[in-house]
Amino acid sequence: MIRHSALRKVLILHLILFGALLGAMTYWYWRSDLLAIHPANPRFYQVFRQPRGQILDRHNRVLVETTQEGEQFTRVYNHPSSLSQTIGYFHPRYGVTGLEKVYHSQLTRQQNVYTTLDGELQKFIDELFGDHTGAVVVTDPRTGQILATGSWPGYPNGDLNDWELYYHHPQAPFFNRVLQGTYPPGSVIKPLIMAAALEEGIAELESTWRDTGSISFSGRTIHNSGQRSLGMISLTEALAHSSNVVFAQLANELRGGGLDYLGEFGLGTTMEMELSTAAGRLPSEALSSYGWGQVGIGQSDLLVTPLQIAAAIGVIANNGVLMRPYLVRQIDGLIWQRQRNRPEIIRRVISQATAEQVTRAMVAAVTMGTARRAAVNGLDIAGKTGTAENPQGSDHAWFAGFAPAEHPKVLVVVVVEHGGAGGVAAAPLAREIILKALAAQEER
Amino acid sequence: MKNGLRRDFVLRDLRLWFDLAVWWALLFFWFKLTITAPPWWQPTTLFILLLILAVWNWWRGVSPYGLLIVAFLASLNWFLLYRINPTYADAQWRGWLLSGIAFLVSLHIDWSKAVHKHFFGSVGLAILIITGIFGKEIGGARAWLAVGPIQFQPVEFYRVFFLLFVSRFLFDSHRQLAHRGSGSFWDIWGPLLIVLGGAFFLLAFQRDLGPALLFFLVFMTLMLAVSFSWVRLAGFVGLAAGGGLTGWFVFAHFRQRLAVWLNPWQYADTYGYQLLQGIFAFAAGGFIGRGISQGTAETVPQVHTDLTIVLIGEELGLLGAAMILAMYLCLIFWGLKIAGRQEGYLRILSLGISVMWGTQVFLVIGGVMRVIPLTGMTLPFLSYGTSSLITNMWLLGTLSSLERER
Repeated sequence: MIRHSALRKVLILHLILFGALLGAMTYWYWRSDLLAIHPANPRFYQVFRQPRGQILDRHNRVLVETTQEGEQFTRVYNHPSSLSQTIGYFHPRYGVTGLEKVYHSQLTRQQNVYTTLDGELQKFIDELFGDHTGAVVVTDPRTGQILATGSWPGYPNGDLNDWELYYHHPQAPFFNRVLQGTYPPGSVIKPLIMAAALEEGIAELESTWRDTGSISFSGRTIHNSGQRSLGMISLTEALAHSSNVVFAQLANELRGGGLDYLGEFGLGTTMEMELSTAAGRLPSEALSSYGWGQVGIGQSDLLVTPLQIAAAIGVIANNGVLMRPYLVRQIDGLIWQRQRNRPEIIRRVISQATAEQVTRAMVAAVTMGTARRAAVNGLDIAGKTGTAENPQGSDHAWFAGFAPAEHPKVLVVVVVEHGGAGGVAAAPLAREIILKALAAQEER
Repeated sequence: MKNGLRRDFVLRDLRLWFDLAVWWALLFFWFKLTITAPPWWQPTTLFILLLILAVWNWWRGVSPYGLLIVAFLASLNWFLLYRINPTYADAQWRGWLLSGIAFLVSLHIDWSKAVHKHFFGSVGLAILIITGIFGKEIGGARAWLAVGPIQFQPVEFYRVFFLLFVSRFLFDSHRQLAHRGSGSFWDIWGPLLIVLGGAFFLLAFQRDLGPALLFFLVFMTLMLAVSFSWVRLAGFVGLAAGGGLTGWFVFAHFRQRLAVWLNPWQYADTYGYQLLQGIFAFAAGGFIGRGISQGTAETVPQVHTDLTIVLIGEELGLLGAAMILAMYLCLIFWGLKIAGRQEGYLRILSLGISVMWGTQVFLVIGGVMRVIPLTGMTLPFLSYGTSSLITNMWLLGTLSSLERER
């Protein structure tokens, strides 16, 4: 007959089965955020008919909010179109992208997202950049916070009626050039090469070279810009005047070690932050001496994103330590929903002494070198221009710099696609941006 | 029964109905008060109500808690049906009255009276045969019988006869099963093969595969509980595999259900629509739910029958759904306790009822949550359907009746 032990076993069996059911229920509860934005889910459209959290800037000014008129909810975007790729859009037909997507669950629960961006600075930069194509990113090198990020051309994320147009536009307004645009760096790589050389003891600030305007490696020649011969120059002057001759030699002496340093600076790998970033490319190790020379001047098949350059030059500005760039400083909500992001150190790349030395050389670039058009009376700005040759057309104009040089508070990277010489096209824009960014920092 | 005993029972019945009336009133006011309240009120206040009820009964020394659990489930069901569509609630109300009568009748039957298994077996088979011949096909399975204006599912009633037959059979042959002793093969296994084999065949013929699986599992559990052997377990597993394979070849909708279970996303617009919509609705509830009538579970097909748990999930949250699971577990535990106090044939019967409820809940919720393929069955007490309610109340009456006789 049925023993009590059998009854007990039946009970245990049921406990196990029901436990499995509870497990399944919990699993679906855990996946609920992903299920909510599945296209087959009719509740997907519900999310557009209800209030939504705001996205704010660093001074708590509202960048994005949902307004309500009766039953109609509209998502309103109060920022220039160059910020749209980062903020993203929230549309029943075209989906959810950017920060709107990354923080979709929190925004749906009406939690607010507080970014590190400065709305006024962003507007200023947008008006300044005008009709150029390219990217600008402004960070605080001490913390890694992104104060402004712009990618031109942008698009109006509040009005996607012309979505098809934007999608097929040859200059790709949906493309986030700051995070994902990969360009050859040209001479903006030189501060990093210089830092590597100083760390490895290959050169010192006072080391001298004879620069005759060109240098040959097994029959192939690398020229200075405009074939200019700079004569006997120190390392500082080599950076200030952007001597290809000197840096081609430095890269040859560093070889694989130089690539390692570039990797330590964050080039060649994706940067982990709120949005996805491109990795760019570091050349493979098997290069001829001409090839290494090309690396030293930022050509070869090097590819970097403006964000990577901002983070790397940030190392120079921040006493040799690489900080993680981030966009969101805080999310509010109920106690267990809150989130606060703090500055995060990724690693130390170079010594403080090396960073100071490179900074000095970059200041020289602004006071008497190729970056003269970024100079401001009474302010020490450290900067480096870049003019990157590329197969698609005229050179990209780069500028990367920070100020005040001694205790940097802002760092600016400007890329004008096919803009020509960095010192001519990018440096003057950066000058204005640096001044505005420093002024904005003062007002708290 | 002596007159004195009968009067005692009547008094106990009256107290029981008083309890139920109070409970119903509480739940009614709860529904009215919380329907516009913030969602987290609902599962928490429901839980508090249950606590009050448990404490009150414990204090009075009464524990007919099987009936009270069912009252909770059934009345919650009524409210949810009302929220889906008031006409369902109306029909369910009538179903309640009928099933209340069924409960009372079953309560007063003397279940220990010996009735030969052949009686149950043949009546059961007859029900299935009639359904097979005269039945209407609804939703892929020919499971419905229409008598005048009334439409019902005879397979639900068949359950009762199934349980009675199986319990009787296992009791009669338990010695032979244990010792593999005397009695010719035909004597022992004959009735079983005819009745159960016939039942499975007929169910398959009517394409009502869910109940077929349920009966198979219940029979397996009962037989193994009576006399366990690894050989027998292997035999059952083999039978199940064989049945599964046959089903796969013969039945298109069996293949469909299996395919959807393995990858519902691929069939999101076609076969998988029901399962996925159910999962979307359940997940949309969050931990405390959206609140009664705040969800959009109307978009889920069959939400008033097969997928009621999904409505509970969306509107009362994971918390509400877990509470329902706990309620069913309590019901099964109650049934097992009663089984422990019975002897012989009645022990098998009460175990069978509990196992049938437990297995059914697992098959239904497991299917909806994608643990196993959907089986097209409904939750006992928690779905729209008079036949199912009558049957389950009848079974509840059986257990309650057994509980009283110590």
